[in-house]
Amino acid sequence: MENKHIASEIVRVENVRKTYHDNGVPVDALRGINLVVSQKDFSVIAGPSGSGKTTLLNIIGTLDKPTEGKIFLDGEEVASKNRRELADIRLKKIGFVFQAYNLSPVLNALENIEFTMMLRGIPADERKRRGLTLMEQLGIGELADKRPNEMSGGQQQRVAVARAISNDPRLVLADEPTANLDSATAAKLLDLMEQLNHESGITFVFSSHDPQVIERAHRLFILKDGQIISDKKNV
Amino acid sequence: MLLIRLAWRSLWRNRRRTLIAMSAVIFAITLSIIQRGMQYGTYAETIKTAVRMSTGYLQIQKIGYNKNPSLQKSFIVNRKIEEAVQGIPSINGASPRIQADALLSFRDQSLGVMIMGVSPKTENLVTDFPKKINSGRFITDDSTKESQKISEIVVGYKLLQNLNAHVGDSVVVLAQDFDGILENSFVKITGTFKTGSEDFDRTGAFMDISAMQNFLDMENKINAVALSVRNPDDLEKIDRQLNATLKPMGLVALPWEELLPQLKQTIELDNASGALYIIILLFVVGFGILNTVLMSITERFREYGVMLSLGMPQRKLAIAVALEVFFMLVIGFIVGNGIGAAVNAYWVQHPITLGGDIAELYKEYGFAPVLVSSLSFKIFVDSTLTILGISIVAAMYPLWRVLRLEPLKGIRYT
Repeated sequence: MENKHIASEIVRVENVRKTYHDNGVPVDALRGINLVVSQKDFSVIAGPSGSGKTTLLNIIGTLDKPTEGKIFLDGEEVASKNRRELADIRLKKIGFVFQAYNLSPVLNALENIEFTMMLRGIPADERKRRGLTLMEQLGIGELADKRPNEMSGGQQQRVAVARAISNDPRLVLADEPTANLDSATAAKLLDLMEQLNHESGITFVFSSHDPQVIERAHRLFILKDGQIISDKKNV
Repeated sequence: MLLIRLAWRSLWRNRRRTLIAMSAVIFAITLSIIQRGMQYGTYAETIKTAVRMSTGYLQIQKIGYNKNPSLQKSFIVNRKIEEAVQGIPSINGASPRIQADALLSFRDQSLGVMIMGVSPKTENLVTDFPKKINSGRFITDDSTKESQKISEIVVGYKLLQNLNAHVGDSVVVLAQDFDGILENSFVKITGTFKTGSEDFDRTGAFMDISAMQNFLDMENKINAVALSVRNPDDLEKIDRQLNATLKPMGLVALPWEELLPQLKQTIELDNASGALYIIILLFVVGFGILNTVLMSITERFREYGVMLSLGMPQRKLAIAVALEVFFMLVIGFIVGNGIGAAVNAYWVQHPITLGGDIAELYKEYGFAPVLVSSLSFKIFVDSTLTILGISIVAAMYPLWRVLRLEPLKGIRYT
């Protein structure tokens, strides 16, 4: 029973603390976080600015290391891994969507999507085929040759989503993905992500204080001063 | 391929900065090629002039003669030696030599001289001595003048002045022969030469080699065969080929570097100072490249941070950045080498003619008053490799920073 439960877990965070030093003064960003994200979850980490949600998302995404505690991704403890191993985990298991889209300005939309597939060593024709399919699926098929500066924010964020899911990750982490979008565009993007979650079973974890995002959460973690003050399922 | 595309497009993202950095590479390589071209061209001209006024490009001698010359270290040119020389098409002239110290006396004046026995028929193939006559005429071939009673001598113009003699006068030459016996003979001064070498014009003299052989009782023996070559770049190969035949016979072929060590040292010293100048210049360029690459990389830390977040291995990111530098260098090398080659080619075809006092000075020392460039392959390879080396060193620090970059620090970099 226990094994079955663990098998459906994508993320497990155990007693994680993160302390920064600001001019020698220790600042506790996270204070004993415990959470579990299960497969196919559409989870949101919400909270006011400075509550630690981005720090937590970065730690889950192996971009940052906890001062204390353990992180399990797909059952594998990651806090003790070296940089090369972590890069490999990110490449194979995690997709990222950033607030500022963060597409490469010198690559066109299709090449941006192909980028992570290229890092995995997928052959060029296969990359192209998969990239175009994804673009069609996300409603941006006509943007393949466009560079980021030729696209709107919403279009760029869709390309970023396509890039995030192009390697079939177990988990997509989205840090304030709607922060730079108007509400209509944000709604469309969230529809799309919900659809991906529903149809493809991709697990999403958001950090956001956008009500539009929060109201769609299947699971909601509320953070305040580095601690989870609420963990609601089936919101 | 995508990595190459990424590097290529990143290179042109800030076109102006890339062009400035590329211009620094082009400027450095062009300047290096032009400067080294002038040096190499001048060296080649100096060497050519020097060997044409003394030793020839190569000499065949008895082993040990060069360090400690004596009449006894002589040899007879046999068929094997002739075949070895004739078998190398790059050799375009050969002339035998005897060299002896002697005393030249005219009336109450006696002066020490170094007499070179040469063949008037072949000497012009290896040296320009016959062209350096400034009064009278060069010696003629004694072997064809059986009735001639008195041999001919040509002396340096200063030697003639110091002897208080004139062209047409007969002087006494006194020297030890092959067996160490003191010999003397009357010789007639047929002319004087002016080579530009003060020492040689004061102490040098030429006689026909057959007359010298008779006078010094050397029969058919000679001290050296001076050789000229079509292309001085082939010297090393020719030297190797000749020595394969000569060494077992107790003979050796020596290139001009060993025959004229002072000239070699002078060129090496000048070459080193030229190289030092270029290296200093290239260090300045290196710092320019370092600055540009560092700026370009630092500006994109955020992008690199994103790439690392997406799972790009640090090594691959460093390769992408290195590719950018590589592209910049390749374009710089192609353009720089092209411009350098064009300038050098023009100055090879149209040497810079010197004028005024400096031209007179050149002529005085027997050199043509021109600055010639060179298209030697070595110049292009050396310049390219030097700049490549400095660029690699300059790119090390920026690449090291990329290799050390952490994803989050990159993303947060402002």
